[in-house]
Amino acid sequence: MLASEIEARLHDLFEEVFDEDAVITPDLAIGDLEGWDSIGHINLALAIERAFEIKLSPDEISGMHDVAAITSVIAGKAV
Amino acid sequence: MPNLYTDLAWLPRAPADFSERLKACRNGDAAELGIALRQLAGHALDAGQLGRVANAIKAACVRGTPPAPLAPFRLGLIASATTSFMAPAIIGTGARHGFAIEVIAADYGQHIQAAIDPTSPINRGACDAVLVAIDHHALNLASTPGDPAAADAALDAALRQVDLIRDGLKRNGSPTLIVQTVARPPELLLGSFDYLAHGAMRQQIDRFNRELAARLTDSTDRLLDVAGLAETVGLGAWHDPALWHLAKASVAQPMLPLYAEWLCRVVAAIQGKSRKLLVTDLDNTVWGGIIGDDGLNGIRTAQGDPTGEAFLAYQRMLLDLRARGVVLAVSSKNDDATARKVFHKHPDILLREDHFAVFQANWNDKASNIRAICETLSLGLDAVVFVDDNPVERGQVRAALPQVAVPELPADPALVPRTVLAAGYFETVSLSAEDRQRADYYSANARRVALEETSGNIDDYLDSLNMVATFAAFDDQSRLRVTQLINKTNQFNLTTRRYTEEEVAAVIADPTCLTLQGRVTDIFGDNGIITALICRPAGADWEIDTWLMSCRVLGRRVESAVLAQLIEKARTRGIARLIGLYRPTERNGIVRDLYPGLGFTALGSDADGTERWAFDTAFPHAFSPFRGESLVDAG
Repeated sequence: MLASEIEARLHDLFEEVFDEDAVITPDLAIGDLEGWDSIGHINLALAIERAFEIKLSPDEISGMHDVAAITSVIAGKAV
Repeated sequence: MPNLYTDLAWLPRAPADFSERLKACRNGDAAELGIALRQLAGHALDAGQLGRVANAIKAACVRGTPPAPLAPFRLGLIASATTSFMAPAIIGTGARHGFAIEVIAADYGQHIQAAIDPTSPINRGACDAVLVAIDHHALNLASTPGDPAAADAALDAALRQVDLIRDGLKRNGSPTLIVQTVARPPELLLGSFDYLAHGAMRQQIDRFNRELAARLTDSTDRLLDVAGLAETVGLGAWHDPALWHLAKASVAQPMLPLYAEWLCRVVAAIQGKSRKLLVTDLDNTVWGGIIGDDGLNGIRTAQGDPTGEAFLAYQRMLLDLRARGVVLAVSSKNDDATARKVFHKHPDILLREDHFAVFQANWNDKASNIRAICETLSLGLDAVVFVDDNPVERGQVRAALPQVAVPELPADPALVPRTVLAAGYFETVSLSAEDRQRADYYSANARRVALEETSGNIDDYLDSLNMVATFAAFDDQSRLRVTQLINKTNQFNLTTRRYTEEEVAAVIADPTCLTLQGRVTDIFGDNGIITALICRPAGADWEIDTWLMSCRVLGRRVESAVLAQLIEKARTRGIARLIGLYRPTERNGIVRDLYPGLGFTALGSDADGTERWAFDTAFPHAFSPFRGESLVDAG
């Protein structure tokens, strides 16, 4: 899956999880959105697992601190 | 195919344009926000969507008041796991049940301190109820198979922990607690023997839950049976070990909407908001086929035929619901005689015509029929569940009467009873003898209406009922029923003040208060306790803090009998005046003119719109209870 495709789908996922119509850029990071705190991050990880039908390890989840990292983890797993 | 339980399959699917609709709610008319959010929450939302509904409610509360008509409800949350995932799901689900819930949660790891410390946010928060959600991780019911002494010690320690929390909350004034049973983890060391072995996990948690239930049985605390819920959906699905290790969440995320739904049902039941009436369609709902087309021999409702047995199971469910107090009615598009013939002539049908309080077989639209049924029974539309196999009828009723609960049904009739019961419309927190007889009361009441329609003259009609009223103070036997009335009665209710069973017990114990409850019997039977009244002292006067009457006896002049009683009591105790209060609500317009009609004089209104009315007890009155009927005073 291309990074641009992933970013497009992340926009809707971010809206679902953080209830905010955010502009998705690679450097958008944890703490940048009101809801993107530690709990919001878990909810985001669960939503990504469901939407991309992948399983994330705890290390992968804690490493996904910005959109660039998220995109790269998903790209390595999703078909 | 959606899972019945975890996907809340009795609710309409979440709309594809959920985000747009939510935005429209937020940007729309603020006065409509509560209605719009409740409508949106009426769909089968996932945890994320519930969280977004929760955000909208929280934002409205921050701006000012909770979005009407959602009723504010403060829920304390004492949980051993993290509450961050539960709270948004609870708030979003609360909107489905008509509440704007504010959650006051104990910090993670602080669940015992938050209960026993008088200055904790929960103890200072004037909560309407506190949920005690302790899971197996916190109870240390460690598996010690083969060591009965260690097992008993661990069980005692776990129960003491819950006692400590309950006692702490009680001591600090929390009125109502909702306590969870414990969902056991699916990982067993001994397989089937885990249930037999003293000290094994399965047996330990089973003992804990039974001990907990025994403690709650004779208390005013309520049970949330999480163990039963987790069993229903599967323990493997309920527990997510990865999420536990990652975030200390005790319920798997896909289970949160169902968990919150079960909790909010208990909250609604505590507040008297459970449904009371089931209106059923007939063709392809009570029996298979269409009576008008297929005829008496063509419809399917017989043993030996799997389809017929599925419909018999639905009939049996209706009878079981009726036996525990749910009122039944029919709304069917049929000729009246054709529909009734099935109940007269079919040898296999389990239901009889007189199981239904109202029988509407005609060609009117069903929304009008349901309205007529509610008027006949003096029940609100929000007390109604409507079951119909036809999606068009369901859609019409949902659109015309959004207050009515209309479950989505599976195509297979064998799964219909399970779906209707999974929807939990008739959740209850207590069961009195009166609950079990209620359906009979309503059936008799519907006959009364029929008699009234034929007899014409209201005085002749009331005379023909041979009513006898009996009054007494509240006591331990009537406390439960009186509390139910206080929390359920919306129409004939002058102040709509809700009290818990504990608060009612406190009024009973207070010698300066006067309580009065009344029963009415007539030729159709005993109506049970149908009125309750609480007076509190206000100087030399009595203030009528609460006065309500069951809809079953509206229009029968019982209010005159009550006032006659009250005046007698007041004179005996040297009370100079009765002060009647009227707090207007959306529902109690029926009693707007009660006090002036009874001869009270206006004292004016409080800032919140509460009207005050006075009655001089020395004033001679002629409140004869019922024309020519005796009044028995038992109190």
